Amino acid sequence: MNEILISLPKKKFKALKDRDINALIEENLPKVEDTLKTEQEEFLREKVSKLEEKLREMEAGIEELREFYEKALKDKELMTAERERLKRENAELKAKFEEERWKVHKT
Amino acid sequence: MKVIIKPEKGFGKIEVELYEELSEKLKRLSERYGVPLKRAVEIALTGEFREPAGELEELERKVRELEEKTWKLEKEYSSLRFKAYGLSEDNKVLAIELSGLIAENNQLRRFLRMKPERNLKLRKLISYYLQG
Repeated sequence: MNEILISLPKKKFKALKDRDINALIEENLPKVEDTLKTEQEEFLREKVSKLEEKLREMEAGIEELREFYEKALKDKELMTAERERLKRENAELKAKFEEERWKVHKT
Repeated sequence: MKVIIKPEKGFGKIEVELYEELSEKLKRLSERYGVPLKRAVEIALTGEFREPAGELEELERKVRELEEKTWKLEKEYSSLRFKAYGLSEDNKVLAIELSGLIAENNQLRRFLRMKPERNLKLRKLISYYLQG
C-alpha cells in the first residue's frame, strides 16, 4: 500500500492542522534536499574516517607481513645453504668413519 | 501517495493524498540520497532543516578514492599472505630436514671423537620454524 505514517510531536502536529500539506511539502523541497545533503555529508565524513583508519591498519599489517616475508626469504637461503653444507660434511664424515672402522677391523 | 500524520501522544490524525508530481519529486530525492521516502516527508513536515557544507562531491570523490585504495591493498595483502604462508611451509620442511642432518652430524662427530658443532643461530631458526 502506498501509504506513509508520520508521527510528530504534538506541537508540530497541531501546527500542521490547518495547513495545505501538499503546498507545504512542495515549498520545503529545496530545504529537504539541503538537509538530506547535509546528512549525506555527515555519513560520508564518517565513512572517510573509517576508511582512513582501515587503510592505516592495513598498511601496518602489510608492512609487518612484508618484513616477515623478507626475513623468511633470507632464512630459506641460509637454511638451504646449511642443508647442502651439512649433507656434504656428513658424507665426508661417514666416509671417514667407514675408513676408520675398516682400519680397526683390519687390526 | 497517501500521508497520514499522527501526534506522538494523544489523538487525531491528518490524512493527505499527495499530488502525483510531488510524490515523484520526493521519490527521486529519497533515491538520490539513499533514504526512505518517509524520511524525506518527515523533514519537510517538521521543518528541521540543515545547511550543507557544500562538500558532498568532494567527499564522494574521496570515498571512491579510499575504497579503491583499500581494494588494492586487500589484493596486495592476500597475495603476500599466500606467498608468505608458502615460504613459511618451505622453511618448516627445511627445518625438519636440518634437524635430521644436525643429529646425524653430531653422531658422526661423536664416533670420530670430534668436537660437536654448535651452530646456535641455525638451531634458533630451526626451532622457530618448527614451532610455527
